[in-house]
Amino acid sequence: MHFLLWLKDSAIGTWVRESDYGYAIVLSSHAIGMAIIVGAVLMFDIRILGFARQMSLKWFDQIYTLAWVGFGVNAVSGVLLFCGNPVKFTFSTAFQIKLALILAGGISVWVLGKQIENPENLAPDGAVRRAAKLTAMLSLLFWLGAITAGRLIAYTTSPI
Amino acid sequence: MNEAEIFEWLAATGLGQIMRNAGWAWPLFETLHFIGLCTLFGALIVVDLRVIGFGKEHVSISSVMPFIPVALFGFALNLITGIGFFCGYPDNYWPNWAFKLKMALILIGGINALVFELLERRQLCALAPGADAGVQGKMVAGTSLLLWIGVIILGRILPYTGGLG
Repeated sequence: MHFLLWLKDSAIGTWVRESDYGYAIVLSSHAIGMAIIVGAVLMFDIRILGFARQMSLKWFDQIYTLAWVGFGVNAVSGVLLFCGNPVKFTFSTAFQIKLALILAGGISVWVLGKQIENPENLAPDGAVRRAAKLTAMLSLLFWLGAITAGRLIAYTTSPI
Repeated sequence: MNEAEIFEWLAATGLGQIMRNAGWAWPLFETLHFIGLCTLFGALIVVDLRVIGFGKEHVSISSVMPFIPVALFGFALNLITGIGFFCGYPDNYWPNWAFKLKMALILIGGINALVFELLERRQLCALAPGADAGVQGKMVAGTSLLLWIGVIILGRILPYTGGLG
């Protein structure tokens, strides 16, 4: 608790909370990072589930490089947003669930990547084995859940 | 009907009343709006980045085209939920500069997408796998990504630019 209050009163915490543009810039960055990460993952998942089979999965190797950039943007902007209101976020159940879902979502994408590296899981027509499809479904659920939990933080905590 | 009467009518619709009065409506619509945003932008990443020239050694432009309807689905989701927000508080949104600019960028994004569909798509799909798109096609794709990034930024800051809180 002592640390959280120190963080809130630190220069960074104060800047996020009180500067004219700080909050707007950080929040917008967080939204763009989200669009890149979740957008890339959703497209990957529906491709695994059978959509647009003609398109090579190798395209996602490159798209995921961009998704990692998005993840970096959101790690930084997320930490900054947290510094603005550390006490509120730490004790928000929606925030805790969001972090858990991001972790689960990240693991599911990693597992899915391993599954499609194995040629046995891939058919010549671009289709993918059932086990990988199950992982893709889980990944969809985790990431859409993370967005839902993130949105709910604003409704389950008092403003500021 | 003048502006004020139109807004009054919109706010009095069933949708407008639900958005203001049902506690679940606003967070539900916001969540769907965010999911629609990710769907739209994710599909554009797959299509526009390939047209710009990334990944050309792996995928043909014609093979990424199925993602255009996915982008349209995301847009439709956001149009519907966006109309919900507007009907809830038309008087708050309309005078907000960030809202107006967002709508203008969406309109330009729509025109840009039409240009892509009507003037570029056939030629792009006819390209051999691994071939590069023409300069005009690349510019349309780049413009699309920049416009939608602008839309996301404006959408995220508009609650703070017009007294919506």
